[in-house]
Amino acid sequence: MSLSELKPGNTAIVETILGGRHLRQKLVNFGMIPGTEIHVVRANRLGPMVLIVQGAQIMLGAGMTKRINVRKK
Amino acid sequence: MSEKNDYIIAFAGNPNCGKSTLFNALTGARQQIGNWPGVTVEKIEGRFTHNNKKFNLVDLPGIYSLTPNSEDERVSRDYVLSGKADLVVNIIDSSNLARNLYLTAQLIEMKVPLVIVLNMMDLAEGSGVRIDMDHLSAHLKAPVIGISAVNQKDIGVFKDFLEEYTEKKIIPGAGLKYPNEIEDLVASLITRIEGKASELGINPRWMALRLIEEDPWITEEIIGGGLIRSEDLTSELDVIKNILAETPDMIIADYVYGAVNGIYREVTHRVKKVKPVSDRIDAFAMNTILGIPVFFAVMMLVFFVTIEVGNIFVDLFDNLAGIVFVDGFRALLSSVNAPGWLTFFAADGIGAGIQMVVSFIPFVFFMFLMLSLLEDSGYMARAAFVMDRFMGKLGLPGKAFVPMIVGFGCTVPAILATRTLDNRRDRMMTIFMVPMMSCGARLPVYALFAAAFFPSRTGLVVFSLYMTGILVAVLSGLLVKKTLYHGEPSHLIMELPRYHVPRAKHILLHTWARVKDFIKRAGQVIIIAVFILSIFSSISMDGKFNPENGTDSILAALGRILTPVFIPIGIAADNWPATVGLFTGIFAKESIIGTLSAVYSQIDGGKASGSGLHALRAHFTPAAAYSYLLFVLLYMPCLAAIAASIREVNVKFGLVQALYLTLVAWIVSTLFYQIAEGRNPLYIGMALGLTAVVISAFKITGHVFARSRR
Repeated sequence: MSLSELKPGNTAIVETILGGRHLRQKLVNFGMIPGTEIHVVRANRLGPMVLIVQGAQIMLGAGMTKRINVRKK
Repeated sequence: MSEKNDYIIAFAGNPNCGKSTLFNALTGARQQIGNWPGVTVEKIEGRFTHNNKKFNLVDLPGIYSLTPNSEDERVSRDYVLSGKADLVVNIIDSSNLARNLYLTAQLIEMKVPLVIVLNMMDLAEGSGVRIDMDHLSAHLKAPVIGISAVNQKDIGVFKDFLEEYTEKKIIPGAGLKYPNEIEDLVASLITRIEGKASELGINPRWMALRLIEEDPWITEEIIGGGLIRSEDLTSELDVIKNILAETPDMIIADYVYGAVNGIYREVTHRVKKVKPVSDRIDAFAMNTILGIPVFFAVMMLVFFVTIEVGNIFVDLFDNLAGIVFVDGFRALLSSVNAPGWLTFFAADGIGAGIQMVVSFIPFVFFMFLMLSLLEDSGYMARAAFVMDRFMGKLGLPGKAFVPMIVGFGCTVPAILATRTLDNRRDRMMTIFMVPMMSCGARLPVYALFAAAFFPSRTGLVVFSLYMTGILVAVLSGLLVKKTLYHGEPSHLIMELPRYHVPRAKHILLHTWARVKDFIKRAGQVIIIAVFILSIFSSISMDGKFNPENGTDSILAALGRILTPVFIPIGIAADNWPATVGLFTGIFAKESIIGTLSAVYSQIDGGKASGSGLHALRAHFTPAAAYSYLLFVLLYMPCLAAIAASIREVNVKFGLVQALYLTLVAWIVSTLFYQIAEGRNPLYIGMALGLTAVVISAFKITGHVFARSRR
């Protein structure tokens, strides 16, 4: 499923990232790589999400969360 | 080359790791802020002396990795690789150890002399995490020290630590192991690139790994240098991709994170579970509904502090500067019997210019102070979050909001701040909207007029102007989005820093640096503008010098010619000084006040003595005054801002922007004045007609663009 479908409180594992090298590298900088566990702190329709990745809070825009596939835990 | 008692130390670390606080604690005010050559990334240097040895510190930009995807990362990577630093100091936010160690791992692979500083130990312990430093040091095979920058005793220990390791120059021994397929290729590549690596002074293993990651720079060096054929490398990489079913850069990142997380788990002990205060504040500040009023409340606080507190100091600064630079110059030159014209130009030209620069320092200072507070407290990132949805409607990323906020301080740095945006489309749209964010230089104009016409509602009047600017910017953004730039914005990705109590020293140093830069850049233009103005205003059309008779000057003639254009916005036919003010405002917005008070005092002679407020009241009705302020808010930005716009995009863009803003200013002010007071249907019709013309012009340009793209 897409990361954008998750609700606050959900935990999931990143499976694939659809996007070019540039997008992937930016996500890598924050530790968002396939296999990483993420926790959704804040999410609402259309707006950006706040996630806990590698122990830090990261904001991700709606356009990006749609391109990340996750497996819900 | 550095001598035995003169060392260079580079600070590297994630954004928000407390790097600048440590830097400030070591160097105090002995700092230099400039730009890295060729890019706009800030370069901060400082120095300190310890045990008779000189240490020169370079604060690299805050970065998350050394994979050069941005200018910040490129600058940092190049500097670390250059070997200029005797020691690289990796500063880590202890309360966010796992993520921070990713950069550490990359630094270790570069094989440069490195030490690790666990900063903000106090914070980590407060959040319930204990770090075993000896264990960490053993894993990384690098020296580790733990400090908290707020503790003065720690700073002394830190200096000893830096001294010790700049001499020892320990290169960390830790090495990461990647899957066999990658290790085999690394080994085979090293034999082929070793020569090139030692020529560049770079570790060959690091270079081989970057080659596998398809890093553009390293690939160019190797392929371009003819060391390995492009087809060979591609086929070797394809083998790996097939076996591991993933791109090599992701596999390498995966292994680095794997190692980092392993170390993290081993060296940390969760003592207790604490819910950070940040989360509790964010329940309000980032709430879907509450976040918006919180945001506006914070913005209002920023402006009221800037205006009200700034106002207290403006008169003081203005009077003091007047005594020194205007009266002082005049007295000095008169005492040596200098000719009258020379005294005039020195005192009323250059002296008055300096006085003007000095008088707006309080406003600029408080504006920058509030901006620094927002940045340092961590609220700025929340503002970007709250605004992302809203900015998305304009087709802009939430990050574009930051240049807009900076625009409230000064348009010029705001235009430069758009470089943080990822694509050209976002940058052009943001630059287009930034001048409508009312800059600090326009504030004195509002403050003076509001004091003259709306003394009991100064704050409200000023606030309404800022809001109008934002509204017009939003409408302009929608217009541009609908007609010119249809594409998709780049997306928000940023770390949410924890809130912390703003650090007074850091903020003051930062604010002071910004004010200094602003004075230097704006100051020159203003002094020149005032000087030119004094020539124009004291020389009449027939070439005679007469400072007393402003009504015959070249400037007055120019103002008289142009005034009819401004009658619809409420400038009376005989109020040509108001037009002259708009003209000088192009040099610098705040010089409008100087012009008005100078020209009014000349034409009104001795009879309207006293404050400039009386003069203003004599020449404007309250509605005309507000309309004039609307025009000042919106019309073309100052020359420095136009120049920045031209430099960042191109000449056509800068000029079209200036024209657009001036037309919009005329339309808005005319509509306001005619509806409020003038009631002239012809002018209202003209304003509406012009609006239609502007919109059509955008539509036609949009079509031309679309066709030329096809």
